Amino acid sequence: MSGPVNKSRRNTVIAVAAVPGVITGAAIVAPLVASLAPSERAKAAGAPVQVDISALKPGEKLNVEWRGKVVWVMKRTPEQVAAFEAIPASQLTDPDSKKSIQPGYVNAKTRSITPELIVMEGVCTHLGCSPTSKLIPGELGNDWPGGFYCPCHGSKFDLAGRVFTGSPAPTNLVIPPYKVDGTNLVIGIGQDGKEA
Amino acid sequence: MTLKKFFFALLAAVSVASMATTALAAGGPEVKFVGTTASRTDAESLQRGARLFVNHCLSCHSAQYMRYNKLVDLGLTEDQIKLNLMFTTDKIGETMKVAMTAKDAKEWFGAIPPDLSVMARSYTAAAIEGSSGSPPDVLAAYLRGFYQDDSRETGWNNMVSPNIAMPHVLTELSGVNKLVETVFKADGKELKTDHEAEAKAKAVFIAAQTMSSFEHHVDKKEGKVVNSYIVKTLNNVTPGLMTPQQFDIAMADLVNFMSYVAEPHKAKRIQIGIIMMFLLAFMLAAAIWLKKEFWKDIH
Amino acid sequence: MASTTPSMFTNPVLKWVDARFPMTGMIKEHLTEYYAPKNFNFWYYFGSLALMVLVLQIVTGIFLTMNYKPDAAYAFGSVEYIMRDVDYGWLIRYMHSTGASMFFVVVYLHMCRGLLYGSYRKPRELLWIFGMLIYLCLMAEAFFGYLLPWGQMSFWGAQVIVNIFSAIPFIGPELAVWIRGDYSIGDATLNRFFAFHVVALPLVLIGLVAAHILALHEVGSNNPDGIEIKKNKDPKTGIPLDGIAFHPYYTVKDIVGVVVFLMIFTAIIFFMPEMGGYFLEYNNFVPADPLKTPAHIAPVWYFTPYYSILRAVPPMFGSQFPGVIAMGLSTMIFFALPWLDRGAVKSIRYRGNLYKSFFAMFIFCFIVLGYLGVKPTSVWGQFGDWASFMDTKEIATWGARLLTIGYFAFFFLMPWYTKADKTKPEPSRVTFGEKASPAISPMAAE
Repeated sequence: MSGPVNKSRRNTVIAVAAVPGVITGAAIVAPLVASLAPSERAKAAGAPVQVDISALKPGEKLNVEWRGKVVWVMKRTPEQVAAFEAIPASQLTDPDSKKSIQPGYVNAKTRSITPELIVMEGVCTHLGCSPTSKLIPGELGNDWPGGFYCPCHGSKFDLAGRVFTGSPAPTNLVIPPYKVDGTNLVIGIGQDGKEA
Repeated sequence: MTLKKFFFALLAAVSVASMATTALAAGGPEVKFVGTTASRTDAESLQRGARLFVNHCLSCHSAQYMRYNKLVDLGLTEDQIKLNLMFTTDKIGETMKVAMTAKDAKEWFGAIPPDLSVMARSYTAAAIEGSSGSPPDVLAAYLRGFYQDDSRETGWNNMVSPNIAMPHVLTELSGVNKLVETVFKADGKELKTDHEAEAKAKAVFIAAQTMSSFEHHVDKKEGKVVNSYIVKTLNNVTPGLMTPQQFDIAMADLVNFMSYVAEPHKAKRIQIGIIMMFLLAFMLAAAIWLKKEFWKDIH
Repeated sequence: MASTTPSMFTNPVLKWVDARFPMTGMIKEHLTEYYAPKNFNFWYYFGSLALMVLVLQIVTGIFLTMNYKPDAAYAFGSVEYIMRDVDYGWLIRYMHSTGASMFFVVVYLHMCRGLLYGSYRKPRELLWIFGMLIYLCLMAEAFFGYLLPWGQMSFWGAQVIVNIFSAIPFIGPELAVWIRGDYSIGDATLNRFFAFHVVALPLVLIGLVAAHILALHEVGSNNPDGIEIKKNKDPKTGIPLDGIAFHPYYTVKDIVGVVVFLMIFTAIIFFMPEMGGYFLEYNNFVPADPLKTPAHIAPVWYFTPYYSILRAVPPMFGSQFPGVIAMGLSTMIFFALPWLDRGAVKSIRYRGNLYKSFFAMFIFCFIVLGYLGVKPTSVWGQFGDWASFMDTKEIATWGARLLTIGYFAFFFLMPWYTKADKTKPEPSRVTFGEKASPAISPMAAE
């Protein structure tokens, strides 16, 4: 038996050996954790979607699938635009879309690049159900200007996707990045060129 | 005898036994591969190979596990890929699917052309089992080994994979090769013994400048055993758009690209491997130090 | 025992656990107060390495299962998906395929240690039996796992092995259909092999490994001298004089073994994962085709000694069954070792030349049989026409037959030659090989 155990020396050795040990351990764990990220196939499937809107009539709404979600592409009539612009701010939870998600290049009032064409995710911001269309004014009561109603927990949205007060949903419908090139709409790449 | 000496003696015995076995090995025809190999890191070679592949192979074959957008590895931009390499789709995230349908393929060729995604990892060709050749080398030899054969339906045959259903798609580049067969037998005149015939045949085989094969046939004629040694080489009878040297390089490029397609992450794998080896060497030093520190207590 | 062992911890949370769970008791019994012989050498690294490889296979296996599809139409494609589209999927795949082969390298070396030092002798017979059961489960696990990539070798290898069962008289063909779930290897087979490989056998393996370690700790480890260290205990502490605490001494030593292993493992994964076609076979990169039999079907390298024996035995009474029996016997006979060995000493260090010759012959036969198993039977050519009266002229087949006899001779003749062997006297205290003298002075370095 050599001399008494030098505890502090021993602890130093352990500490020093622990450094490459931890790095090696991390090196082994890192690829496993990374493998959970979306694969190339998922990313390719989530690629931007092109939509031909040349045949889209005023008042018509298209459902487009992008990244597994339903995106509404709607050409609003001038009357519909006037109707939702006339809604008083007191009836809306987030009238200026300050807390809601939308790209910087959309007009804050119409929540779109051009006044008529709106592109928004048809996913209720409460718990993710897809609201049903209630586009006819008066359909849900005398003051109803036209919009969307979510059957799961009763949230209501106007034709700019803004949520009405009294709804469980906290924010307006999400506007995804998109750009318009004449009659070619691309969902997933923004007007500023940035991909989602 | 100490245990250590005993184990070394055992190791020696086993090594001798396995060496002896290779000397006794027999097999099918021995094929000599002739031709250059391109460097895995040569981006230009890979790009040339990609162009050859997309222009000549994708009309019948798919590479269904290879995504177009991964080709940026070759030093290309996505626009360059879209412009030069994508003919069947415009989505760069898609995989290299084939232009032809499986039904048409079966009708026209009698077999569905196999997918090429991992062909450079799997192509060993049973016919040449006697030769040592890893899949990419065998694949290159295959592409260089086509010759004209009027007895076949397609008009072509191949030295590496005899009687294959694939025609010589690249004939416009390589021109037309014909097979030259020379038989060496102990005929009592110039070659008096089987041994001399074999030696002469082997010499011709080794000296051949093109791909060649060496076969040993044993026949029984009137109760006597007749040994014949056959050497086959290729002869370029009609030139194509490329000289034989250019075609050789083109095939090296094509196989280089196919090797990349078979394992696109290979470059990254080797890079990470080098870093990991250094890390582990450092870890080893620390571990040995730790062990020695604690084992001071013992005896 | 749990609540009466005073907790080794001062931390209140750990003390709380200790009052309800035998944590301190287990740590002491199996780590800090488990006394192992101090003369462990190179051969003693492989037990902990085997445990590490098991953990590695399970962890990488879990992540592979996240993306693999056990459907005949999608399996091959899903493996390529993992290799190309999943981030670092290629690394996880190579870790798993290399780990499978390394598992057998480690286990064979671990078993060899057992043979060298008589670790299967009394009182460790049950330990050896658990180990052999682990070996059998491991072979089954590897066999089931190999079908999953659904390549040509996967498919045809499974076809051949399951067909072996059809060689069993009377019940054979129906048994083979029942195993496959179909008339030929197909989707049904793939799905059930997946269940065995991912769930059933790993659970059994974990249970057996736990039993293996518990059985070891019950009787204590053997050592390269084959003597029982418990025979010489310190009168005051009851600790074997030649024993040292497993933790920290062997934990720290095994870390070195782990790092060296990882260096080899890493070099293979990153620089040569195919290992020339032995770890990842070339033909398995071709999708399974029931209509095209490969020219050369061979099992993976770690099965080849037994495959050689199977091939070497000629058909008898029109049946291949004797070959199957021989192959089965060649694996099962290891179970009998504790009772076949009648030697006066445990370790090869004190055995005579008679034993050493048989042992050398066995190792030689095992390795060369393994080599022959990867090659076609034509590898050594043929005898001349004079040999036409025999059932085959192939030299390799006759070589394999000779080697099979040598292989079985090691076992069947063991009761005789271990008794007749002229052994050397065993020391009373452990040594560190022939360099050190039996009486170790405190100054002697290893």
